[in-house]
Amino acid sequence: MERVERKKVFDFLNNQKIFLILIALFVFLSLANRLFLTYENIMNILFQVTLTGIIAIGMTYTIISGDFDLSVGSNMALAATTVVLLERFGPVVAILGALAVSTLAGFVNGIFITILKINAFVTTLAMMIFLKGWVLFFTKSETIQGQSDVYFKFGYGTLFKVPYSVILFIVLYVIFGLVLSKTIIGRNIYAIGNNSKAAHFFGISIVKTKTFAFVLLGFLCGVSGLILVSRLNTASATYGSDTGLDAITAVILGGTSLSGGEGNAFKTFQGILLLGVLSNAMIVLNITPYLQQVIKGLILILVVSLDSYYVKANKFK
Amino acid sequence: MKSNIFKNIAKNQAVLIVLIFLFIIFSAFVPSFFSARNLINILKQTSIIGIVACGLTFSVIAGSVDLSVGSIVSISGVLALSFSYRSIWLAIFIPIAVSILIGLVNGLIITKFNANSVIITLAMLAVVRGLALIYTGGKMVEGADNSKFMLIGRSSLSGLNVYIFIFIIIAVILGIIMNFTALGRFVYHAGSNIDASKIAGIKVDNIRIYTFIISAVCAGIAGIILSSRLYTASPLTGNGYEFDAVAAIVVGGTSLLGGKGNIYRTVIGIFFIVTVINAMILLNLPVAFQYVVKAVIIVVAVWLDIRTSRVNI
Repeated sequence: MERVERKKVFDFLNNQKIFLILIALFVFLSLANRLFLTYENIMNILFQVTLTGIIAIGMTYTIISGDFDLSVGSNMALAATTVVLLERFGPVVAILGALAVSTLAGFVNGIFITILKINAFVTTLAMMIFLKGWVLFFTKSETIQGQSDVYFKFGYGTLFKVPYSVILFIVLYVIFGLVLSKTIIGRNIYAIGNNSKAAHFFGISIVKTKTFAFVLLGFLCGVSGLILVSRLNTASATYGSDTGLDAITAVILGGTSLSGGEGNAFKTFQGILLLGVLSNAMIVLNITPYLQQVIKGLILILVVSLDSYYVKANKFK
Repeated sequence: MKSNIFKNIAKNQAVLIVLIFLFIIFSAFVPSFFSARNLINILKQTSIIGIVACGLTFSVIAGSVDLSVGSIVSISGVLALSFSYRSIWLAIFIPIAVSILIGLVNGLIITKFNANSVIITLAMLAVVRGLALIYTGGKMVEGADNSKFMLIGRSSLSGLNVYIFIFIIIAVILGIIMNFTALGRFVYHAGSNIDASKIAGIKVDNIRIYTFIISAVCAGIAGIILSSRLYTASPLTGNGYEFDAVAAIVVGGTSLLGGKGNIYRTVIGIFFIVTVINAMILLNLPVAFQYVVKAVIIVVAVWLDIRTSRVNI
């Protein structure tokens, strides 16, 4: 009886390890620097992770279904470019246009992967180069500036001292977290990630399910691009160059397995917070951007190695 | 019977036939495409990226992919030029040693943890780029004056740059290793069926580690040549080389699933990409379209490959 209890405690700790690391890091940083645990800094961390965080929700879907998407950064840059270019037709057209373009890119990814059966790496790599080319073309390889400041109202507006974009970020996590865990389409995504052949024999449409995941991811890239413009009112092909890797890092760091079939949006939320706190800590500790890049790359290598090792060890048990 | 032979040639050499076709069209319609200067230009561009692509072919045939090659080109160039002040041997030896180390780390992580090579090498791309930026402080590096090191990229032999011959030699050596040695055979086996190869007693992990070292060293050599030719090196020089190399490999007909393809195909593939880009530059098309065209070429090549191999079954 006692043993069962102990196992329960151990399992709980094992499942919540990222949360525990996060708390430990919080305690350490607030002791190390008085400015860390202030309302402004906490909001600042949430504000910083919003763009990557929103994309990471969709990335969770694709990773659970057994794929990943390298084109998200270019897709976000394309949404930002579209919204700035379509400015003169009014904000409604611009926003809908940007969301449509990004969603379409996600849809094309999904179709290429499921119907043409080109693997996700090649498809999304090609899509990344393709979208980057168009962004370079439309921006003439420069940073383009929007004229109207209507988007700033969203970008810098707050509700009860919480920025709108952070509220949107949390709302999206709740909605799509629930879609993933409580709906049929969510369950199908897990089934395909676990064993796509078995899922197929049980009558789950792989084409529809995987395409849904990529369409959602494309749409969320569009949302991120809009938030980017609402803060900077500029667009450039250089935006989003690290977003893809950061989003994948957040998902795996949170504990979702790269081999598919397990994980959830709440884990990704923890992963993105941990990544945000680490980035914030690196800035507070005055670590140069170059070294930050190295450290982030090493974190990704570490978490992917641990995840793969865990999967391998379980396979041969 | 005879039509079968033609069918086989058309199927196996499809890329070469399309390339020759494009070459004729470009020669006819693109101004100054078919001139000695431009053709040498194509050869020069092919050589440097070709060395990267030929090395990368090893890890692709073994069933993985190495995207860190772009940063390896950068860090190798930066190291080569900063050591050109000491001696030509250090300027060659240090970058190669660093490349071997990076390839070894890639290979060890990917094989020992059974980790996804795309994500690991993408992360390594970021790490090595960061290290190159730290090493130079984000600045460009210039080489030593009148150094012998300059000869690698700037001397020529009967009108052709020396490094074109270096490329040819490397491609021939790699082709021989791939098709006529035990190592090459094991690379194919590792790529087509890992479990069967393990049961057959092939040390698959070691083979895959060798392939990562080969791709890293080739990228390192390309970096040395590039830096010697330009005589300035930026920590971002090799950005995007990984995509061009992957594109060349895929276009040539080497499958990204592993077990299929060869160096000859990669050489054709790299000529294909460089020729198309060259014509686009001569036609004064915006640089942005180069990205779009590369993406389309990659997808079409992979799709055709999947379609034809499905017909075969």
